[in-house]
Amino acid sequence: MSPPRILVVDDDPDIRRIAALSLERIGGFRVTLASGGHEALEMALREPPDVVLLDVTMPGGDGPETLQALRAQPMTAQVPVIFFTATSSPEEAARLRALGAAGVVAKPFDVADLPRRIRSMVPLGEVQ
Amino acid sequence: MGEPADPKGVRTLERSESSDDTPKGVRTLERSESSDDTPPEIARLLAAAREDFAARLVGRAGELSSLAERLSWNELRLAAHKLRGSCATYGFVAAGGLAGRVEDILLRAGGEPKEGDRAAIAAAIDAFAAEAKVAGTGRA
Repeated sequence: MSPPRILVVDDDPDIRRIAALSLERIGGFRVTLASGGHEALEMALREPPDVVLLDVTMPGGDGPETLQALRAQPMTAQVPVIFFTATSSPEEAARLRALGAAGVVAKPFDVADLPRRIRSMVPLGEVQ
Repeated sequence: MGEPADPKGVRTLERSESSDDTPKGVRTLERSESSDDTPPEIARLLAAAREDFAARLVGRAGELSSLAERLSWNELRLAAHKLRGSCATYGFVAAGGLAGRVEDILLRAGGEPKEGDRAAIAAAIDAFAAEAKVAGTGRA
């Protein structure tokens, strides 16, 4: 059984670091990291992940734009996307879900619990 | 097995971070470091990440001050937005709250903050710098 692959997209290196630590070492995911939307799209097309954790506010290709770009490509159109945001109002979460997100994770996030939350939002089925 | 994670300053910082507006989940990094459920190797990695983050916080405070001095309000809002999420995730709740205060003031001001808002922003950045200094030295 191979670990699920998650692409974490955030322009903040501190968030990438702690999210990767959580998902890889605690959650058993295989993690790849991108610092922006364009890089994320390139990486996802090269090797489509099982799920994308995508920051909303990024310079040059923000989260919603990146989601649209992923949906526009046949190889990544069905990949579940979970938004990552420091703007955690219910209205914002509803707006992001309406864009087609599988879920929303608010920052600050619970480092120990992040892997469980991702799995609760996306049925990964731990790839056979 | 390795020694339990108890990096310099962690306990002191926990005491300094008690706040009424503590966001849910923000103590998790400290809890994860010291929890019996956390393997020592992972606890050490979490502690190292937290220490490294703390060591760079004073520099981040300087960046906020510099953006405010240059009246770069949009950049300041974005920088504060990032710190709001990252500080508390790493367990620096008070610093995260102060960064959030800067962001909220700028969001309310909608572009160009008035004099009173600028004073409040400056005060929040000063308080953030003080928190950053405590975090960086591990002294309350």
